[in-house]
Amino acid sequence: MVTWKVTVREDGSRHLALEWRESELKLRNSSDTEKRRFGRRMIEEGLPYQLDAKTQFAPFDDGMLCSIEMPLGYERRAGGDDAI
Amino acid sequence: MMPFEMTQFVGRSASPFAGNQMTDPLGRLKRALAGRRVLVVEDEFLTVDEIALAFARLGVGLIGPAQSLKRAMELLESGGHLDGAVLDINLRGGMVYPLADVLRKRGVPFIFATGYNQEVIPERYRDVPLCLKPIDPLNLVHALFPDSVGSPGSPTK
Repeated sequence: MVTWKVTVREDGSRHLALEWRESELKLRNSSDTEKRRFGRRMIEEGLPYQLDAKTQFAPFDDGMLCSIEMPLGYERRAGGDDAI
Repeated sequence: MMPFEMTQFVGRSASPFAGNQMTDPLGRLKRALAGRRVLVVEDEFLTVDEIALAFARLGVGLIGPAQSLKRAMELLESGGHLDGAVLDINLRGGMVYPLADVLRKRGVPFIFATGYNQEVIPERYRDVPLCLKPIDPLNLVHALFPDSVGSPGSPTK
């Protein structure tokens, strides 16, 4: 299940907070030294590098919660100062 | 100076690395590149990842990567010798040219790795080798260090 919300801070900056909750998983041993899979590297390395995201994985009983937070830039003001 | 032609690299990209040659081109390339330090300025993770993998295989030291002009300038100012740089032109909406100007002043060779074509690049950079995306890391090394691989058929040190 994926849920998300967008918040606007006082300085007008917008931020996305997304949660991806996956249940009924058979998780591999976390001590697995095998090279991490592409998807996980994209989330843990790619999103922070390219989108300034903060990402986190948290296992729960039969699943995994992936949290992603990232800046979305600034809110457009009414009247469109930034319109070209 | 002769205008740079992309076809140079397209034409010779495969041959020096083919495994069935009498010589050991990959080993020769690795020896030629050993210890070189190359700044990578690129905002796309997947491109960086590919370059990083190729550099690791070739023994080239990767400085950075930097995903923004600001970060790249910081890396440049933090010192350390640079043998070359790979520059994406458009970094999160900003242009990389101020960095290119500094590199040129310092005599550090660089190439552009970009989806842009020659026409939109400012006149003063028309002689900079261009590696079009998607990047072929070996083409990129060729373009940056032509001396390290030599021309096909020519004797190599």
